[in-house]
Amino acid sequence: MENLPVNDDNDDTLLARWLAGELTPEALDALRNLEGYPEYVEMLDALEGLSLPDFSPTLAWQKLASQLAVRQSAVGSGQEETVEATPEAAQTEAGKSTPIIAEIRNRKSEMRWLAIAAAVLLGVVGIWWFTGGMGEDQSIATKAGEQREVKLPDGSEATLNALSSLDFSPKTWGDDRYVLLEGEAFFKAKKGKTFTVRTEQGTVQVVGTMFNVYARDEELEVKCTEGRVQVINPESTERVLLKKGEQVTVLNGRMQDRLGLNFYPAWFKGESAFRSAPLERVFGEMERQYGVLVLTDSLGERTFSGKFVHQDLKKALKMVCDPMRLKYEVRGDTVRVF
Amino acid sequence: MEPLPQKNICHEPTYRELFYAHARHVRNFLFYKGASATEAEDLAQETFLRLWRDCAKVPVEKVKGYLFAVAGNLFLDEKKHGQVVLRFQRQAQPAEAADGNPHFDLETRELQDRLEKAIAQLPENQRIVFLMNRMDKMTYAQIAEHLDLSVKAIEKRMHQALVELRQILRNI
Repeated sequence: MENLPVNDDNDDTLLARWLAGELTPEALDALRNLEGYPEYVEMLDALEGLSLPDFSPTLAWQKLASQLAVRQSAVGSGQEETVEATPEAAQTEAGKSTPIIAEIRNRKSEMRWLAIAAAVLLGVVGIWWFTGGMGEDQSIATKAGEQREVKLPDGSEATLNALSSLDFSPKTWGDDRYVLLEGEAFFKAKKGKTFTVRTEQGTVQVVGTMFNVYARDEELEVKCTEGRVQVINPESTERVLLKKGEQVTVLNGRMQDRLGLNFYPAWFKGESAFRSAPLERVFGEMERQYGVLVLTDSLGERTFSGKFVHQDLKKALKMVCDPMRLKYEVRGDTVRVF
Repeated sequence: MEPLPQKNICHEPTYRELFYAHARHVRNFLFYKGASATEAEDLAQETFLRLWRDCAKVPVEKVKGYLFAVAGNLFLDEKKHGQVVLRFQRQAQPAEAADGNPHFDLETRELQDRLEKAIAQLPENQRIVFLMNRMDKMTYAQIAEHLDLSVKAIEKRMHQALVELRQILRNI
């Protein structure tokens, strides 16, 4: 690492190392005196206000899975492959028959016959509905302010918090206890084969236990309230084993230190509790519980310890705002905090 | 923290894991190249269909390079070189909106619009590195792995992207 950058013309990685926090204090001082420095800072600040179009990996996976099924059944029934762009690619696709594809193909056509038979018997018109309903992926999503208990095929349970979604496949549950989660849920996993909760922010694996998973934005937080829980970062490069009463956070894909459990999750008992949580996260949770939009002045780094109830918005606001010396105003679905 | 055992991509759960770990980054990469949100999602899907087709040929440890190379080629087939237009989303409420400066909203908005245009004007290889770092929050080492380049090359592109952005911004 160089110590004495003079300007940004003769060090061709200076700004990159600055952003990565790799500059020495001296180099940093020198950089701050550069002519363009304030503009760089302003530019990067403005960038914070821009974000990417929404993307739901769960929905995308469902789309992909159905695409794969369509292509495979097309190959299986000897139809021409029409989706592939190049003939060469189509050949490879058609010529391929790994055991998995074959297996899926068989299951798929079996499924179809079953569905047709059932449709004829029952006089049900929608074959697509039946194939969709029979053991294919289940998808459960909650709205703002809604919580829902979901029974999983082996009697394990998941309680979904507001604005969360859970996907699983009853068909393969016996071999692979696997759910996809976006948002937050509390799980009671029966003892048995490995139970996997996959989130975009990382993976949680248990054998049989109770635990809470919060997976939103760049953060995955796992609290283990019973038994043992294994947490794996999204790239599958690190993992940590949590014991009862411990929690860990994966932030931007990187595993943070393991901590003593700092709050037993209480949200499924009608209130949300926090200890030293950024106010932004507290109001974010309030938005999800009440389906409102909370407009705040800059909250900076302020944190909140305490709780709010889920049945009474005014009371909830009072519980958070009073100790923080904030005022609030409710207008329809909008809350202004100042 | 021990590494997990590597599995074959043709194993369906492994394939699904890989989708979950990489789909967003592939979608974003296509978006940075200039695909619209919908196009980017469709091409990302196509990329993963190819991965399934090639599952026996791609070793798990090479999957990032494979996905990004395929996505890049699919984009080339689809798009003719033209002016890149990027459409980011604006956050509903800028963080410092109420600092007492009534012009703040407008100024921020205006700077964001200019910045969006400036980013679109960056040379593609700088734009991709810059956005993978700022938006996907990848380290230079991670970007290098995805793009099959050296870390040094990524650092150079990142530096150059900032220098260029500042210059473009001055002329917008």
